[in-house]
Amino acid sequence: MALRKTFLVVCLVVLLLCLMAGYGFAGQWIGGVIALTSGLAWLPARKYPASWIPHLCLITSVGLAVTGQLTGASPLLMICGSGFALAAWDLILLDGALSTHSVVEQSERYELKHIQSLALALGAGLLVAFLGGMLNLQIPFVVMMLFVALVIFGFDRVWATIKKRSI
Amino acid sequence: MNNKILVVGSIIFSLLIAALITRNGDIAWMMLPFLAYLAVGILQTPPLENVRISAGRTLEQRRSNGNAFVDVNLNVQNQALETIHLFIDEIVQAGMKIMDGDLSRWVELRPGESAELKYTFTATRGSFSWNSIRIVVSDPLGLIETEMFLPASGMVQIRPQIRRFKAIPFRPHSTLHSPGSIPARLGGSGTDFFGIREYHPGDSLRWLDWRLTARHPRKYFTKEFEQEEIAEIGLILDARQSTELRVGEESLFEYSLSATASLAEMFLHQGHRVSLFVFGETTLKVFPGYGKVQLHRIMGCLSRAKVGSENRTPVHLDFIPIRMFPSHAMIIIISPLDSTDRSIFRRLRAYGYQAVLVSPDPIDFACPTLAQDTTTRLAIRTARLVRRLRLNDISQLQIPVIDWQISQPLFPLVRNALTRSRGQRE
Repeated sequence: MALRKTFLVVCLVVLLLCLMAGYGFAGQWIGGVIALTSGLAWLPARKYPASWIPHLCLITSVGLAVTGQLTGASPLLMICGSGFALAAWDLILLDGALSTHSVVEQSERYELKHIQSLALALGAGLLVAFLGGMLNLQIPFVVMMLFVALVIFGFDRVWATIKKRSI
Repeated sequence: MNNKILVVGSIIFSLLIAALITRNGDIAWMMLPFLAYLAVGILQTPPLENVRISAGRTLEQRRSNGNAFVDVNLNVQNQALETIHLFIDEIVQAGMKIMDGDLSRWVELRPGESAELKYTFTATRGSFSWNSIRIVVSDPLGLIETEMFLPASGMVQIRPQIRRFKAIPFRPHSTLHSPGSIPARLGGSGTDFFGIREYHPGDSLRWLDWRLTARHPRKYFTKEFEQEEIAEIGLILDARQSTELRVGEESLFEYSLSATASLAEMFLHQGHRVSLFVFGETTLKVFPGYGKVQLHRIMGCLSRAKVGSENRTPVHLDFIPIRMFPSHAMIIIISPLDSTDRSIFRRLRAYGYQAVLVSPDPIDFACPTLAQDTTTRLAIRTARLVRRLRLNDISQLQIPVIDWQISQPLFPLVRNALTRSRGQRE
């Protein structure tokens, strides 16, 4: 089995476990069942990676994680679930892009680099999120608004960079 | 901007809005894996000014005959000083049938390294040319993509299949004054005895008829031989949408085209001067010429020939610029015929051309796919009658008509028509 497929299975299992455990610990069994059903929806997404199904699965999983947080599920499990949903989505798209072509050394190197970058992004993102979750700061409303304005400005700059770099 | 970045961007923005509305910090923390994903993508995107790539295309052959396999080899080299990740994408053209290999691939190229993309395709006919290859340079996560088209030109011509015909000893009513193989009904230098005339100063003494000269004192007689000259042939291929018929993968036009190619090859092989006019919603022409070069020109033209699109205004054979063909040429029209096509034959006769019609039978072509009920059988019978009347109408103009049922070989029909048409004069 290719490396990407192994990671995909691992990510899907972790995603399902996180969401189901999060809802389960909160005593919301319906949420757990919905999480399991959404987990099954990733299977057709894997079969049709070029369609809109993978995107829909990611949005559904993140939506479930947000709903879980709002209904009292463990934030750490929900953040972890959404992070692994991102990884599963990315690996499905990678598999779709690589599986139709013959394997050569340069493609294998590309796959490895992609997985390394994904692991870096996911690891860094989850680590910062977990550490940040432990912080408990009382921010005044004005400061928070300034922070939001800064984030939106940051988004605008990032968007401009992306548009500049991608022609 | 690709779908990936749109989805990730939308999720980040939605999470931010949700965090603000619900004033829930944990939802804001949920953005972080997505932001990290985006940041890794942006940081690993190579700056455009540092990207230097070259591409080349190698084709195993420039020309081939129908249904041949053509190997294409694409080479992309990274000339930059840093490793890049790119997607190589070959542009597939209509009519190409890929038999083996890859048309696209994601690769990582180190400085100076090159990637190869090999594939084999086949096609029944066509002229395929490429100017560039599509390259997408991106970060390893495929978030920020830069599309570029690198010059990598190449061309291959797949010619129609030819059925080689034997030489047909036909007698056109007019020949070109150039040595050839057709007896020209004129005295001169040749091999067959033509007649005897009185000696003219300048005649070779080798051709003096000594017996007759001996019988007529003080008079000399020279033997004449029949001149052998070449014929002027004009081929008109009907490529109109109104006369095209497709049954599954098969096309009646392809049969007409193959017949035209075979006839052109036969006539040029015999040394005649041949021209071609492909008439449809768009036209192609090859002016008169001889020999192998002319055969290349004609095959090139036929490999590019296409049936017009359906949404164009219908055209009539009457629009053919028949003066393109030298006067008194033998014009061979290859067409399944439309109901309005009779007048062109009248015009050809009026201008002094010797015309021959090769008409592939569309009814016979479509018959195997039609239902076998009584109504269909009656309809087929009626269509056959209409076609018979149409062909009779044309043959009444002293024009040989070849009603070609494509399941039959064409050569005997052409041979019979051309050898029988020797007596048809103005």
